[in-house]
Amino acid sequence: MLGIIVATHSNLARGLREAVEMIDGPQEYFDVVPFCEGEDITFLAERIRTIAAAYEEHGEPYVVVTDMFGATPFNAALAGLSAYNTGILAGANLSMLMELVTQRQSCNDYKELLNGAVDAALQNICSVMVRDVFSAGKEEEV
Amino acid sequence: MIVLARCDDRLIHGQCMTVIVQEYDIRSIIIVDNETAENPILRVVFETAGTNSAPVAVCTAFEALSRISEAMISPVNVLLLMKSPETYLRLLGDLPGLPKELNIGPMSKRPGTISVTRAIHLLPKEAEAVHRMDEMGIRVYFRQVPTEKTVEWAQIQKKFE
Repeated sequence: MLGIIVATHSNLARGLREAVEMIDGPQEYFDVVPFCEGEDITFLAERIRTIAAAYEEHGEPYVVVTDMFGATPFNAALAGLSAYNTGILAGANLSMLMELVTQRQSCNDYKELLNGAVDAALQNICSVMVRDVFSAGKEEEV
Repeated sequence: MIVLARCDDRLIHGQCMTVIVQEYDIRSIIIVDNETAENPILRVVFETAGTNSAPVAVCTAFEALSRISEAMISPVNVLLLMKSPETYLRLLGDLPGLPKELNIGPMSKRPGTISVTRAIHLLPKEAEAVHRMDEMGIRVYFRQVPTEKTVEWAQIQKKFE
């Protein structure tokens, strides 16, 4: 089963894990790596590498999910995993993680899992004007 | 032209890409850092962190000279990013036409550092470089992001005496 390593600024990773577990129950193979004040890219890269090494050793697939492209957690994941052939996602949100945790049980196609996660994340980003939602029905009635 | 010369020991990261790049409408980033440029992994990592609208070039102090000279006369807004004020002092020696202002952003707490603000900490040798630039008439100011209160070297110089 696909391992998930969530690496973010501050406690966002822990919060995302708690939100995922609230919806889908306790998760296995789901690590969080918070990047805290005073830590640097080398330290963070090493923490990510250590978790990844366990998956590499057993030949199991895994993905590092980061909060923002080009930010330190993403840069650290790239630096830490430079020797490995694996994937990194950027732009973590709850939809992205829900897609990963629900699909990883059944889907064995690594690229399909990652692409599905990106699609799910993008599809759930939108802007809604409340008045437009509630006035739509009324206009039809008139 | 170089619209901002800045020290930040994390180089490219979230704050830089979301706040600094937008505030100064940066269209090109030059990182000058020997250690990063000579590390084949970190060099690729920081070049990858750039975007189509703000690509990143990583150079050694030597490689940087021609690139910065071009940037100084280019119409594009360029961010010059370094890990240490010592690098800017060195560049000023070779390129006297560089901006007369240096922004010092986040600098992590390291063994031997003295704190300037909550997020900015300088080693004595870094402070010495700031002092030298101050004597050369370069304004060195401390601020993570433009909305934060600016701290001038004159206000905190005593901490390093």
